[in-house]
Amino acid sequence: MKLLEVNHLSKSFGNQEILKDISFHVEDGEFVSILGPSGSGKSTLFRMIGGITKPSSGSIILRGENIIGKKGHISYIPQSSSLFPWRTVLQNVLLDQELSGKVDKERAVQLIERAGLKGYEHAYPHELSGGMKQRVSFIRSFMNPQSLILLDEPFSALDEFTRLSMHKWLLSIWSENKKSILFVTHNIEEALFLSDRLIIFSEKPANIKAEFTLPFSRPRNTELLLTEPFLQWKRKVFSLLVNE
Amino acid sequence: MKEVFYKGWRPILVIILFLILWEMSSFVFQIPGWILPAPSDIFRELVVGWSNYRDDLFSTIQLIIIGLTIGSGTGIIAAILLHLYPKLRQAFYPILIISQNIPMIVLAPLLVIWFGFGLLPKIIVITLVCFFPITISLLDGFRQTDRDLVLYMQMVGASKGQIFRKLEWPYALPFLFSGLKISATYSVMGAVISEWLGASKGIGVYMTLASSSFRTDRVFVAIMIIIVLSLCFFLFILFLEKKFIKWKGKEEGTIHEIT
Ligand SMILES: Nc1ncnc2c1ncn2[C@@H]1O[C@H](COP(=O)(O)OP(=O)(O)O)[C@@H](O)[C@H]1O
Ligand SMILES: [Mg+2]
Repeated sequence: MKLLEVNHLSKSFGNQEILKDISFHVEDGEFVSILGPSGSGKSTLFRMIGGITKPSSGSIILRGENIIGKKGHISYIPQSSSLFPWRTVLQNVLLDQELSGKVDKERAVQLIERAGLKGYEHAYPHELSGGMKQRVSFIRSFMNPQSLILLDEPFSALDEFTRLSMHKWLLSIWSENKKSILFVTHNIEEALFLSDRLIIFSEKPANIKAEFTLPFSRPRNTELLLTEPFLQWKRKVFSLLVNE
Repeated sequence: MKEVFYKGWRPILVIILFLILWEMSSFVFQIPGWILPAPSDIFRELVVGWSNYRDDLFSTIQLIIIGLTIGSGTGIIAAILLHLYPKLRQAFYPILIISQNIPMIVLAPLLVIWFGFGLLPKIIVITLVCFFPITISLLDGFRQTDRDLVLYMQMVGASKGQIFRKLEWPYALPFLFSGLKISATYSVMGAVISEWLGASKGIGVYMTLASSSFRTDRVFVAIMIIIVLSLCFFLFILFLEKKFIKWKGKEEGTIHEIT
């Protein structure tokens, strides 16, 4: 079933056209990535899906309902972990649920443990490393009752080692929790490794240059990164991005 | 406490040296006590004269507590209103700044004319000196709220009220405390000034009586009391800050290492 449908979406700021006739969809439980250069309007797209910014034209439909200008229908993982410094890990994780009313502390503790953060429930964000903070931010979004998670380049501030282990960890919590993910990145490898489907944005004004369904089976391991089919895909996507 | 000692010994040493120098010059140059009493005379009067100023002291403390409470309450409410209603802020912010340029010494007698000699004009004086630092620093705190955190709250659909309660208010708390520290110190001066206007009791009254009867030692006693009171209120706010803002512990720690 189609969870999210974006139809002929365009956005301009003044006379500067940012997004031009974007159409795509996300199925229930699917992991879809959008790959695009920085400044191509990926964050702007997320703000429109989040209901903060209105598109110039087009529609955004979530479970059959038009959600343009309507907030509170998605959960969100930003580039910086965006934890509240005065809240402990546990309190941070519960934030989204507090906003909508129902708080499930037990599940929060469970997820924190599963993320390898047992013992840090009552620690403050400044006591955590960058990777740990980002994990907390992910758990917060998985605790959010909404079923679509928007991820805006959440790994870009992490080092390569942390990033690889975060990828595997993200895939494992995603497979255990029934959520759909729309993931935005400018990293080719990351997009290929994580997603079911890949959407490629062009330079400004961004429109959809190509869309692929990826054949790699799940569960995926880090070894996949060095297999010949994966490298072939990488070359294919890379040449598509360079040949403007 | 140890830390206070390590950081505090330099100013304490300076003060002690200064007092010794003062004491010696009073003795060597035979300065009359009504011009400049020696520190030892002041200290004696502080101890011996306790019963003379005890009631004044308690009356002033009470006035400060009432004034500071009402003043900070007003400051906080003003800041919240100006923040939540941008039109109000545009209208009142400049007026707020201008209001601080009216000297209290000029305003105070007017307040007596309008409100008499009771408690009201005194509380108005203290409120006027207290609310401003609080309102300004709180407003700053609200406005400096991390844009990423605000964006996060909007993305997950937080209402304006939720953003205020869960994000902007806690974010601005450290700013509130910086304002409170200034206000607490000001409130002591405010209380003394308001007592000069006309009161039956209070350190301000004690001071006026002392200087008009050339009891300069008592004037200095009053000055010492004012200093100690300011310090006490300052430390009380500091204590509250430490109690309420635990999450800043680490950042402060690093600042200590640098200094
Ligand atoms: N509120 C705004 N007003 C004007 N221009 C904006 C605004 N928000 C974003 N832009 C512009 O839109 C373009 C896309 O930004 P963004 O969505 O952040 O790109 P990305 O996330 O892909 O890096 C940028 O050129 C940026 O300057
Ligand atoms: Mg972006």
